[in-house]
Amino acid sequence: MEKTLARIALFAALIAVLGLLPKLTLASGIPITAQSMGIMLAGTILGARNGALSVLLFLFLVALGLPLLAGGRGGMGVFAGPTLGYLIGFPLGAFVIGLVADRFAKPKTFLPALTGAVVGGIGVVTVCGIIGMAVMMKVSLLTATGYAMPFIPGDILKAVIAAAITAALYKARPGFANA
Amino acid sequence: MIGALSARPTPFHRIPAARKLLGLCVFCTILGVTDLPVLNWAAFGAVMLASLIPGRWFLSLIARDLKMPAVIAVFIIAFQWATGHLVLGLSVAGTLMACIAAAMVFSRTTSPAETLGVVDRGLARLRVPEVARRRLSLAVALTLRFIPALSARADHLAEAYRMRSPRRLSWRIVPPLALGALDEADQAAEAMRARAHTI
Repeated sequence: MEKTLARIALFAALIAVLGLLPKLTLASGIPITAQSMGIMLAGTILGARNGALSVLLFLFLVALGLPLLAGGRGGMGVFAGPTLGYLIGFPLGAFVIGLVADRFAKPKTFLPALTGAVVGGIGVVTVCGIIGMAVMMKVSLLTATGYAMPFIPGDILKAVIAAAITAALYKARPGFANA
Repeated sequence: MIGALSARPTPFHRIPAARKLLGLCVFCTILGVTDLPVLNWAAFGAVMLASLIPGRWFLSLIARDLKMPAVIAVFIIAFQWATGHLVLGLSVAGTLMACIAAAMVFSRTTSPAETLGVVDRGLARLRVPEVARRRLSLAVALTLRFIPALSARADHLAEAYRMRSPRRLSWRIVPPLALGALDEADQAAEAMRARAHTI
């Protein structure tokens, strides 16, 4: 139990620290941060339940007022904005990532992790984000989808990197998956 | 302590966190069902006026928090105007600005520890077992301990990368960072067990 709790706490911290890394700007001019990759890593490395719990813990700290979201944002205000759907989608996405990856015989290798990251980290999170924007900004789902689309190339890049990292970690520490 | 809390005391700091949180929920719920732009923007104005009570420094603190939401609000108004729904755009933007401003006043005047206390008492009232509440507190404490440690590790890795590579700092430092994170978690768990800090 101690190890599980420590890992959940540590991945919540990792998600926060990844938000501090310099952002990368795509050719289209859309900035991408590493924070959502932290969500993907939580799901691929910790699995469905613990991954979702670490993301929930991270969001709880944000709600407490800690400026842990990319760009130094935090506090209750972020839950009143148009990105609320993405915040709801993060723990759901981490859960689905773990769930999908666990369907494979070796869940901590590249392909299962990539499949999980694409389905949960991109699919689930983006759908929640689109619904959230449509509700909060009172626009149609089609319009909200248009707002979300520019971020997809960056998300695909992050899913590939998250899967590669998961596979590399599994190679370096084969035992981490069983802890 | 990292956080949005204003170190300079204001009259809002003295209001109990539970009351502020309840007030914030009621405020946002009422605004969420109000479609009149005049009311939405009046609520925003009221929050900004209330922010003047501690002084202009506090108002400018809240105004700084509202920079990004303001850009989004302008975008919403412009979009709804272009599609022939200007009133709706004004109402949505007003609600967003008022709720975010009120939430930032809450965050700027309530310490994370106070909010955690409110959550703990709320969970206790909901009859959540003490062991589960203790786990939450411990997880929060561990995360707060790990953030600066991991941040320092990321800085060291970035420094080492810059020294060895002429290329721009990239996400290549994430695997060693994640690996170190896993080791750190295991060490923390061992330390907890060694100190009989079982949960």
